[in-house]
Amino acid sequence: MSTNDFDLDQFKATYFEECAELLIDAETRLADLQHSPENVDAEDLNAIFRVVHSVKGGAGAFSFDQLVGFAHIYEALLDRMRQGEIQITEDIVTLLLSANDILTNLIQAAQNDITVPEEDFIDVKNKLNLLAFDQPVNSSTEEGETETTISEEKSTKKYIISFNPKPELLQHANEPLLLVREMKALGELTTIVNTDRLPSIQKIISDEAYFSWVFELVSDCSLTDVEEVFEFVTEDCDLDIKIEDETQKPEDVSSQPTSAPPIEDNSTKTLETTKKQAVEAMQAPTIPTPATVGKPTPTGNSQASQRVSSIRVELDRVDRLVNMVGELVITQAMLRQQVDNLPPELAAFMAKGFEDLGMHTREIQESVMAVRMQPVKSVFARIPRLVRELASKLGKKVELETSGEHTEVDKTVIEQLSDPLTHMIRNSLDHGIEETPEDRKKAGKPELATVTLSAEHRSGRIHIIVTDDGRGINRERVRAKAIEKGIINVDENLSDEAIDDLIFSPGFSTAEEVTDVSGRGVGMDVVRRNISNLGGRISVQSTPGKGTKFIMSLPLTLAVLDGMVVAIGKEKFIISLTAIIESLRPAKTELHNLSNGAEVVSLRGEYIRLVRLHRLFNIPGAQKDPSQALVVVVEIEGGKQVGILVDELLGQQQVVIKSLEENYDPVDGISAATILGNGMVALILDVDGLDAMARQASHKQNTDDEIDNQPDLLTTDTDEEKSTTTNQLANSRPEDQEALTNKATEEKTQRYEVME
Amino acid sequence: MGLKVLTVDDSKTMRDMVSFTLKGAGHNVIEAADGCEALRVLGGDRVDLVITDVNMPNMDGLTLCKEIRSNPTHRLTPILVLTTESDGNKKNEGRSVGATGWIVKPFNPEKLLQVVNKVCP
Repeated sequence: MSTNDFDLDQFKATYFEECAELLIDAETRLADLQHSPENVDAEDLNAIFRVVHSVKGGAGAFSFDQLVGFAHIYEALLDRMRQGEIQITEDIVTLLLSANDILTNLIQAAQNDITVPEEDFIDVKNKLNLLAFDQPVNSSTEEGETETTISEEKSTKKYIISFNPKPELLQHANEPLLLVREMKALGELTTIVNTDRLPSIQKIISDEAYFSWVFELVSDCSLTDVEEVFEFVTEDCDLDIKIEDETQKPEDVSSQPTSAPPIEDNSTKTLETTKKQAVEAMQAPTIPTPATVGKPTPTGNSQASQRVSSIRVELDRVDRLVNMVGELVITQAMLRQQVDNLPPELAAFMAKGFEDLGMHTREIQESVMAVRMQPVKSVFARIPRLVRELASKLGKKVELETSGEHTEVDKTVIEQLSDPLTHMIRNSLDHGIEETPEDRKKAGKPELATVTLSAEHRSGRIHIIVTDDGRGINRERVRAKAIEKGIINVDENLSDEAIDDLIFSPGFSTAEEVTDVSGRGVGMDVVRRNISNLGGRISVQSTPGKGTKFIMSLPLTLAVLDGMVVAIGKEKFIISLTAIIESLRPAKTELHNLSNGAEVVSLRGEYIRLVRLHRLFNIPGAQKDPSQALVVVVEIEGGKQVGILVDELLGQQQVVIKSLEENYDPVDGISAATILGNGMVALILDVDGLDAMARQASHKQNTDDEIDNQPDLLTTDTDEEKSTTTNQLANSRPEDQEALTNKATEEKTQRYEVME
Repeated sequence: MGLKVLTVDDSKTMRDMVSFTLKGAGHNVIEAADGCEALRVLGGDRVDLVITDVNMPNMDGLTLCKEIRSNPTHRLTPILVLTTESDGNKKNEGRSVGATGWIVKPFNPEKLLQVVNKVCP
């Protein structure tokens, strides 16, 4: 095969993919070093060294010269460090960090087929050089063998090669026969073997080298070519190569006929006498297992490959599998429904089988989903660098703390996570943290600001939380800005939370000047939109002077959902099981109306806003009296609870999510759709969206026609959170609060606890 | 008849390239990501050639060489070591642990086949 039909480009994708993974690893380990430079894990250094080594290896193959050059120096320094020749200090770690950043940039540049101007990183390169080679300028760093390129004329010469192998040659699996073959390819070869040292057959040790040879090679090749034949064995043999004029007689081997046939024929004079012996001897030391070597055992290969512990699979294939499993779940649900319609005796017969089928289907599904799950570590690993860069750009002192890197989430979610997360971090550093360390000192805080990044699983979702200990959201400024931008009216009365939430409004940006950090033309509104496209939510909590907390909540997977099928009128909806806390039928006495039009259910002393689905979606024939229907209590964003009014619960079912956005259009209060066992489409409720819809509806109702048909427990001016309501109640009328609590617990409500 | 070659490298790119080149030349290739995996993959099965990187996690290429040489089954299996520099030291180290030969990176498919040919019957 020639290089022509070998297209290296096809490996570039793998290379860059691998580089990305390697860099993440290096980043993570460098961060470890940074945290505890005095207590270095040797494996960290080794691993970083290997990263750079691998990057360099691949870069060499693709001729990314700039990358190779830099990686070489970086690698050399790391090598000295891991040998313990250079002590690890804070300065060195900082240098390594910048070297890593440059490496990242150079890889990126190589990927985009551009060159980075040398002056961009010459400083770091010089520093590395100085440490790695004790010299500042990159000159004789390449320790390449200075090949003695003898400019020889292409004339036919005779080489006399005396070759006397040592036992090591054979022990290293080198093979004189192969050397002979290689020389034969160079020209006309005459072989003279010397078997003087060959003992009797009983005394032959297979590893011992008994033969020596003298070769005469007539060829127009260069001396280098001949030397190259013995490249691997020069140390393991006594070798002497002489060039002789074609016309001259060989000195060393004058007694032998020059036309002696090659060694394969085993036909030298001395050998003939002990032919049988010699053949066996030859085979013993030099060609130990030609038969087995040539014929690999047929089972060997498959057995061996089975033991490889991990493989890379294209995401497409996994997706196809996930889709098919989704269809399988639907088919299984359909079949089960049909079995339920069978006569009882037949149904019972089938039931056991279907139970098993259901279980197996579920297991398949879980296994397939697990294939797609990855720790968020890969996304988190990029953040330290981001924080470092931003902090130095902004002149702030910031420390990043991360936790929950090992939290797993679907690969598609991971991919979508990076951008919003980057934005949140940027926002925290740029707007959250005080302008200067001095400002922080004045505010009585340590100069070093802390940004915390954490991930955790919560009720079937992943929560990614970015917290800073900065100045918090300046509500007055936000409000003024929102009025200026026409997002709210001057006289609009907003709660603190509502003001904080304004930062997610389209067209909102509080930075007086667009900085090159946050001001990238992308506002938090885009972040929110992107996250909600994923079925996620982002919210902010802020305490002035203390800091800000962004909470991003995303589904763990975008493919399936454990749902509760509920009926309202003739319609069926799915509520995510993970959101459901309980279901109950409230007594009439537990229902209350607030003056703002909101309906609440009192439950164990807490007030839960009631969401009437039939009203929001205009569904005829639904049970309107909550005391005759069911209230499904669900948890929404921020740990709040709302009660969704439904006619009945039909059962728990795993459903395959079909995107509404992709197949139709986004609908308020609906997150997606699915296909039920009977082939009907059912909508999956977005409980947060419903809460928002219900608030708007009740607000509107309240301002429109001032319905107030029940004596109020409390009156509130604006949209109230349940917690606020309860607090107010607790503050104002503790007796009532207690009375209500007792009442609620005494009353036996019909309750369906939903177990997961 | 193709050879059965084990290629050991922690870099997937490198394994891919070695593997692609050898398969293109009609050889069978099995892969391992480090020395430990290589030994596991090898087990008691004979291969015709081992090509290994030096710097790898868990078990490096030189240790792998030693391990392979100390196993009677693989005692005489040719081992080629991939080195980045034409660094005399690495070659000597390789030799001292029983490597048959070496391939100097950067990777070059032609050179690889040439060297494979050099050490394999």
